[in-house]
Amino acid sequence: MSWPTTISAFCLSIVLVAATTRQAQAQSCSTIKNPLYIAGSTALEPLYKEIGPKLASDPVSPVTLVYLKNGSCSGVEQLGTKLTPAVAPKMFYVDASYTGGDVPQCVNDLAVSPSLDIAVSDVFYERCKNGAALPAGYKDFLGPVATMVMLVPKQSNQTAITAEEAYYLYGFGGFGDAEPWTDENSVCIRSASSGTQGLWAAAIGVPPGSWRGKGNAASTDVLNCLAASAQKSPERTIGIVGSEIYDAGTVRNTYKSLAFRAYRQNHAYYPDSTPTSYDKRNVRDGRYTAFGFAHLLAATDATGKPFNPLVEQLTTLLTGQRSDVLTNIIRNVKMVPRCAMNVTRTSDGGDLSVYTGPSCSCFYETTLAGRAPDRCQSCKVDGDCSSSHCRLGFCEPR
Amino acid sequence: MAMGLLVASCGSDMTQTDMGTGPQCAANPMTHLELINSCTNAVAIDKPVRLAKFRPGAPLQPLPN
Repeated sequence: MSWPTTISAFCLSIVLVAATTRQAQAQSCSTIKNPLYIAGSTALEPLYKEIGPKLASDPVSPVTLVYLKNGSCSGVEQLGTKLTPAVAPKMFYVDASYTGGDVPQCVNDLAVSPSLDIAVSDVFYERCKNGAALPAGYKDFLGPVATMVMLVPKQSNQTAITAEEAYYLYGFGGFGDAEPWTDENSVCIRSASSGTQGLWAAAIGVPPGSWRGKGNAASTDVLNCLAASAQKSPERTIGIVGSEIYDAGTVRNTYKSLAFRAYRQNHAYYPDSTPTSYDKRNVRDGRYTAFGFAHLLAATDATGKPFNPLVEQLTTLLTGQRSDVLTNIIRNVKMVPRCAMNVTRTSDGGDLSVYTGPSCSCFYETTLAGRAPDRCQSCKVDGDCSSSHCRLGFCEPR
Repeated sequence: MAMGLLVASCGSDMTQTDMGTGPQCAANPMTHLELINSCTNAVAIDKPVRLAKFRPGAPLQPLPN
């Protein structure tokens, strides 16, 4: 081997060792600037990735999102507690340098353990805490809406399921005689701690810990379970996922969502107005009841204002009507912003009531479809609208 | 009552693309019952409950322990 080749190989090895050493030395959480600590559901992670860098590089009030992905009720349990290294040895963070891909983690070597700022949950606090009410001094900021669906293979002849059938299917398993879904190995469910299962549980009246079927840790595992079962018996195969899974990629090429008929309902409805649309019209109007809010739980003063201004900044962003955030919620996170809902509720699976908050239905439908519906009138100011409400460029009823 | 064609086929759901109109739907929904049964032109499916254990009007059986 010549001297130049030897030197080149030596230099390359130095570079490789240096790179490996850099990887081994993970970022310290103590170097994160203006952190906002979040824990719980991962439903909003696509939003963190999108807005996180913008928040971190804000020239006036930068915020770095630092979060745990430990599930809804785990986040709820951590409300008001310290994120010690034992509880959270590593945390994900999205700073100004994040440009996509895997979110980096930092090592929790903080000299003073911080308190959790926001717990994010797919279900109401009471559902995680066996009915106990949210303590005084905390507020539940209702964020965008997630829809839950039951999927069957496209080859299946089934198009709908009633709440009664689902009760016997998931509550009794094979003994429920809920034809054709009588083989528990072909019924792909999640776990008791899953927000997806929790919301369906609330809709049909089967506690999430009592479900019968083949358990799966994550939504991707449910899809694998469906695929395996469909090979043996497409007609008996069924599984539960969030609609962000169903609406993304090519899932709809292989599976279809069942229409759902809730208790006391006359007909079964898809989440969308047709089996092939994405408008979530029936969710928004209350005819499809298997949905839940993203709950942002934080400590507040007596007026409901968060003590931490960074918390107020984020909750306002996630519950407000900023067009770039709404667009991200609609297109990337694939949830329904609260302003596009026409109904609301105060408990999971609870009775619906009319939502009277500001509306953004036209913006929502335009963002989804790429063009404004014929009924939507453009506007610049409130005075342009007979309703006196000009929201995000469209006249809205409220 | 405005109803679509009723199509029944052996071994599959009663699949009826009922347009959700007629006296069974609420035109100006305010209550929970009215909201879940509100009038719409979205696709609606008549799905009778097919369960050996189910009797219309009777309470659901308690879940097993």
